[in-house]
Amino acid sequence: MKKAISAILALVMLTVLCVPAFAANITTDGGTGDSIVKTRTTTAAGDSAENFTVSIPAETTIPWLTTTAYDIAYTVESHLAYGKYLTVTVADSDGQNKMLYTPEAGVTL
Amino acid sequence: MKKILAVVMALTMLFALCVPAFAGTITQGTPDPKEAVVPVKTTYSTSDESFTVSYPAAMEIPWGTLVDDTNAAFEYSVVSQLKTGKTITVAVSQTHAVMTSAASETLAYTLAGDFNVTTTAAVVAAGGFVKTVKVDVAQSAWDAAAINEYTDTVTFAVTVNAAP
Repeated sequence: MKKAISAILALVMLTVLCVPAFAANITTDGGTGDSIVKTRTTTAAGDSAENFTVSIPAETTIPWLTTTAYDIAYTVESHLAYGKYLTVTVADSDGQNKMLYTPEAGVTL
Repeated sequence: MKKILAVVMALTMLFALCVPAFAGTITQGTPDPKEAVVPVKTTYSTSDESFTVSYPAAMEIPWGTLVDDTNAAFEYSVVSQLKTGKTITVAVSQTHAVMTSAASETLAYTLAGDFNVTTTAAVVAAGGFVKTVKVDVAQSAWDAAAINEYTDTVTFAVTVNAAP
């Protein structure tokens, strides 16, 4: 008996947690009713709406004998939650700040 | 005691003399055709009239929803039983031109669809008058807004129109 009552109580509490969005009614002349219009932070598919894209050049070619600084352009587009922002850090891969020559196939030095 | 009993009996006999007034009688002496026409009639009061306008308690739209998406549409309906000639008008309006987030950011929106409608009959059965109002947020507005929960209030106002 105790187990049955416990199970029933558990089910009752579970149903209380499920709060469906009921419709509201107006039944009087001159009556008004308010509906809350609200955006979700997820898309229709249920995914987070946050996204960003950092576009970088796949390759940068510097003309020979260029002695002035050469710009490498990259862009950022973001749709993030309030207060969030992006940081993009650009650095040499091995920290040597040197470009190396890689011989082409069939070329002998 | 005797006087009281006498008064009670007198009143009782008096009530017995009260004969209900019938509209008429048909007897053997009634000329042919022996028939009587008795009108049957309904009576009513304004309290017999009723209507219900059902509207969504909340209209939540996924981020990025455009006006032609199904998620932008919300239904409301009217069921009514009113006196002949009466109709019901439902006006839907937004409180502000923008939805606002807890961080005071804004997202502009408008309403589209059926936001000012009137029934065409005094009696509307369930399912006979279902309308759709849509939340319209432009793509440019979505793109420019930080992702957050933005809210506003939409009001449904009901008016019963008198018979012409």
